[in-house]
Amino acid sequence: MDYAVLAAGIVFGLGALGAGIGNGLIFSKTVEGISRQPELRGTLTATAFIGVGLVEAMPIISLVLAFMWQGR
Amino acid sequence: MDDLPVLMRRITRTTFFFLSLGCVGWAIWPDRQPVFGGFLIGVAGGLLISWHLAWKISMIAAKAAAGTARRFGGFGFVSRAAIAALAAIVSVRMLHYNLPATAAGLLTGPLVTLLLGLLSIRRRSGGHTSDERGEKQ
Repeated sequence: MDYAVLAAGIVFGLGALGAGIGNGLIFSKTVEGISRQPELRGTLTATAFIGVGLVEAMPIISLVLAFMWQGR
Repeated sequence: MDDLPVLMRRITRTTFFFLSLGCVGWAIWPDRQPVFGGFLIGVAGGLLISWHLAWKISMIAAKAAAGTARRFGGFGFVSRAAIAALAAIVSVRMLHYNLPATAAGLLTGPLVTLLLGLLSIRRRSGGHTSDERGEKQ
């Protein structure tokens, strides 16, 4: 068995797991905040955008690296 | 903190600045074209990812503000991951550009988002981080 395939799967799987948990927490609090105070929608969406952008950076990079390792 | 459209305009402007830097490097150092080409494709993919994320967040916020939707659907992570994979495959497999440069270009979007977001928070609080916690006298 080619261990590069296994490594690629583990890298992207763990990265996506962490991003899923992080995104869920961010979006749940954002939706809760907007439901409580709709007038703060602009501020909350901008904060959520910054948070999700950072959370998703690592799994996206890990996906690229996993694809390339798998292709070698 | 600024609103999302204002933040997106700033992010787009800054990302275009990095794209222009990549074009200048491409023109000045022809022997480094695989590096700058990979960087350009990565930055373009990162900008697409940022636009998609902003669209998705504004759509979810509109649904939350309306208070009618019981389910918000997906957050679009797979679409953004597919954009990143597409950028990497086009850059490395088809055009034979540099992979680390492509990954660096894909990381430019989140880094610009972080820097501009922190600057926006700092600008709003007048330079004192304690103001964010309501400690301003």
